[in-house]
Amino acid sequence: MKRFLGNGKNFNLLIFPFLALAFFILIALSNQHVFRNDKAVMYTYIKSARQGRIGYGFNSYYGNDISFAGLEPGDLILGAYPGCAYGRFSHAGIYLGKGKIMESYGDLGVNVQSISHYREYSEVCLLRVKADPAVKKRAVDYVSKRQGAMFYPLAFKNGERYWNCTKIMWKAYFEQGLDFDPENDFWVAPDLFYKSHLVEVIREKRV
Amino acid sequence: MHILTAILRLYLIHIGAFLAVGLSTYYPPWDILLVFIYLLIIGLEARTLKMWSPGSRWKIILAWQGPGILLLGLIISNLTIWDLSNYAFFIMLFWYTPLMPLLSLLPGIIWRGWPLYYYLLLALPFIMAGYHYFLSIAPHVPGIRNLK
Repeated sequence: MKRFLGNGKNFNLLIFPFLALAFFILIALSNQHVFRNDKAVMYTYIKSARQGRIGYGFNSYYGNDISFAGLEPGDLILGAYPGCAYGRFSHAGIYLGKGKIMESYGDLGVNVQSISHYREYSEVCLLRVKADPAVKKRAVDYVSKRQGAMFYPLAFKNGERYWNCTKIMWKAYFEQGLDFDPENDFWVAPDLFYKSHLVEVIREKRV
Repeated sequence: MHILTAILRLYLIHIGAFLAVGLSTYYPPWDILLVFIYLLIIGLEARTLKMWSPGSRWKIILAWQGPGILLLGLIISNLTIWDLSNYAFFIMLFWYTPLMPLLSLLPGIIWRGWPLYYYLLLALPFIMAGYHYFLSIAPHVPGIRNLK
């Protein structure tokens, strides 16, 4: 063992690569279905990166004038900038009522915003979850309790200390028995909500 | 040990920890254990510099924390061109992945519109610089092996 590790100085350099390899093998062995799924988020991202697209797209104020009329608490809102690397939609939030949405974003963490900020997206889509109002209320309660929690872009679905914009919505409904990611990917892309049979499109608009 | 070797070692440890801690977040709470290993190893590296001049120590520390300081500058500059300030924050979140588990334990307190982790993340270049410098000047602790 000592021969392998050398002196303490080598141990300092080797310990983390060794641990990273060990965790990678554990994750890969228990998630072979993700690596076999050519629609997995990681493959979408890699494909986009090869085409020169990284991140959430070309951020600007696009002045989307979609109507937010008729939204109910628990409805989902998706926003897209052109050139997003992980799919059509760049961002997602859940409607709380009274013109407020809950979302998770880099510097703000899990936070409450006015729905009007979605007007900055070139594409906006409003989704209604096909569920009992009581279920949607519990989902809203779930996200509301996590205000101020930490944002991490690559938050895995496990655990409740790191969040990104989609994980918080996925988890809120997952806890109520609705799974927006039946393929059980590492991450939930905003597009999954759009494609799910658990929602219906209220309206969408591209500018 | 040459000054460049000391810097390179810190970067290699940091990048290794980035991968290991990032992957370990899949298995919480292992990520928290890995942060403490990271802090321990950085501390051991700092101890190897205790015979060095303060100037050399600061050169090493500033080179090690250079990316964090540069990203902090971009964030507080509030540059809107290419959304630089925003992307800088994302990159800073990635760069300090080895310490993310500690930030994730903070209570969800929001002050002046930002959560507590936002402020602490921006302070990390200085906190880590101070941590390294303090350990590199601290007197010998009995029982801690000197790796020099």
